[in-house]
Amino acid sequence: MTVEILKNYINGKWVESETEKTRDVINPANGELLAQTPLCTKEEALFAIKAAKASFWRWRTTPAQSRIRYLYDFRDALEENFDELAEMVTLEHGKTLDESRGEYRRTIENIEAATHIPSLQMGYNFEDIASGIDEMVIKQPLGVFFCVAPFNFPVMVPAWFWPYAIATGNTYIVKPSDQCPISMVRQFELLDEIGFPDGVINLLHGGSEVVSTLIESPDTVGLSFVGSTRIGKLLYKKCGEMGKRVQVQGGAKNFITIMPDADIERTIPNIITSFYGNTGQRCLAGGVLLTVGDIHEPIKKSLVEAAVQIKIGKGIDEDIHMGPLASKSGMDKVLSYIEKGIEEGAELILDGRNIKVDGTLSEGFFIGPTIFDKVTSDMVIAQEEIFGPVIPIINVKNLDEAIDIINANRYGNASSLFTSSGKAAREYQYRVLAGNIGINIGVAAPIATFPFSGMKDSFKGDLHGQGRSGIDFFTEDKVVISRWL
Amino acid sequence: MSLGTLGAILKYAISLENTAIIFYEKARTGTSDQELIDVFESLIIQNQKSIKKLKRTRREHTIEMILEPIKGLERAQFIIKTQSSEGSDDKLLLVLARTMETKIEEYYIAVAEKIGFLAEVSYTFQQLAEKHAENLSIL
Repeated sequence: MTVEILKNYINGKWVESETEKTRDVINPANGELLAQTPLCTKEEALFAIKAAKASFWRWRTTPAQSRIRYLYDFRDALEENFDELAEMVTLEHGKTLDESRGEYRRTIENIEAATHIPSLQMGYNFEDIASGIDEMVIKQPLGVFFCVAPFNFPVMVPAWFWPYAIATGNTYIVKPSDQCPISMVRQFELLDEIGFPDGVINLLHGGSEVVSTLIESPDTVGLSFVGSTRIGKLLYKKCGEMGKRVQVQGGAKNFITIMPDADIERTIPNIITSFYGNTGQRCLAGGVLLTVGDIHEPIKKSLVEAAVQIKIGKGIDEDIHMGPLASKSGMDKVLSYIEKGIEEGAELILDGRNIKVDGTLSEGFFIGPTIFDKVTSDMVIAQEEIFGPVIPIINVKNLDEAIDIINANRYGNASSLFTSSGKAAREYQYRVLAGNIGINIGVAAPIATFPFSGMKDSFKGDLHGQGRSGIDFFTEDKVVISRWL
Repeated sequence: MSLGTLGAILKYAISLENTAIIFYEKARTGTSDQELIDVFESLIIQNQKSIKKLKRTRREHTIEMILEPIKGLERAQFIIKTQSSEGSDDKLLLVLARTMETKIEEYYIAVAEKIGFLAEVSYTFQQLAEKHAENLSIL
């Protein structure tokens, strides 16, 4: 059987890579080989940079209204092909169809937000800031930007960046996940059909060699990265040395706190979605559940009752609530954390190992909902990102203890509080060191017009993706001071 | 079989509307009563609009990664019958159409209630239930 080796899209053309190094793209629901990602060479990366650089000036001088009309066309293409595109994400990633639809909706929202550029990129001015002197700020594009995308949201995460970059007049290179690249390839087929000018938006597959080349090139301006904190910190350092702009979204351990006055019936579905949505493979997924005081037992009971009803299976089946992990290595990692939790003395009250799908042990990478009680804050499962469907529960005395545990953790991506007290909610958003705070929201995911924040080891850089921060990242403020006498 | 996810609920709704369209298409060729033909044709257009609405809902309102199981909706409760062993005269066609529209309306009412936590989707189903109540009134 011949398996397709995916192509790059550079300067408006599909180009085969000359590399012999590839990575298999596997359907995680059944282990089937879907395609191969070429781990492209340094020369191919330089070729992509050259194309993006060559098209920059022409694109940068294209009026903003003309630039965003391409995005309108692309948005329409995504709507027209919505069902097919969502199925493709499910096929290569494993998430459910509803989750893939959700991912595409968020993708489209980012494209729509980027079409607001004529307002968002507007500078400002002031007459007579000094005697006879006027001053103004112009927000100008800078050149070639690129992103290194993760596997967990293979189309949505690149859309946090590239639509804003090109709408503001930059040119762009997307390096998709080498584990889940097929959906991005399909998006580029649609971009190609729309007829973006050559070189404005490019797709380049690869691994570390490609990323290093993109960073080291004097012809690139900045990197947007979403992935592990370990790799993110390396790239952040390297970008600093090379004088690049950089935004690094790293790992996470998101604490979800439930106060005694929380509405249990409304809270449980949120908790289930937070920890088990996308099979726990979200940087905004719940990482540890902190129950405050006496609510611990009723929450635990309701949680187990809800979790056992979750239907596990192939994401492509509409009736399924939770799909497989996206890779075997991901599954093995989650299994090792479950072992670690048992070894450290946490009580495994719901075991998702050896789960049966359609009545049999599957070829796919499945783990069912798992819950640990009697977890302590020093345990590995309370400290590290598991990236799978596991809920470690810690019972704390009060809100102060909860906040102390949260703030002691190295990560600060998101945190949520469930309560009916405005005072507790304010205290939480005021003191918790996390970039995205949810109040009675299980997944604190900012909409496209707001920045996707993050703190501590979850984010390195100055300007976040999405929203006004995103626009600032992709533009330079030029100040013009003038006197006409 | 249970309808336990938003995707499954919407897929089933689309299949009900499609079944109704096929029924009305066949019915309009099976009668010589012009008034009835006009009614069936208007219902085909109405149900095509409903499918568009359902598809739009599926595209636009699956924003949250909905995982909480939706309980108590069984396909078996909402299966529609489009043929009768007693023949296919105009009177029988109308009986079948009314039974079918009633069942679809019941489905939408039940879904709207079950997914109250998704206010926009619930509202869409309420609207669709009203449309099918209107369909019934012209049959």
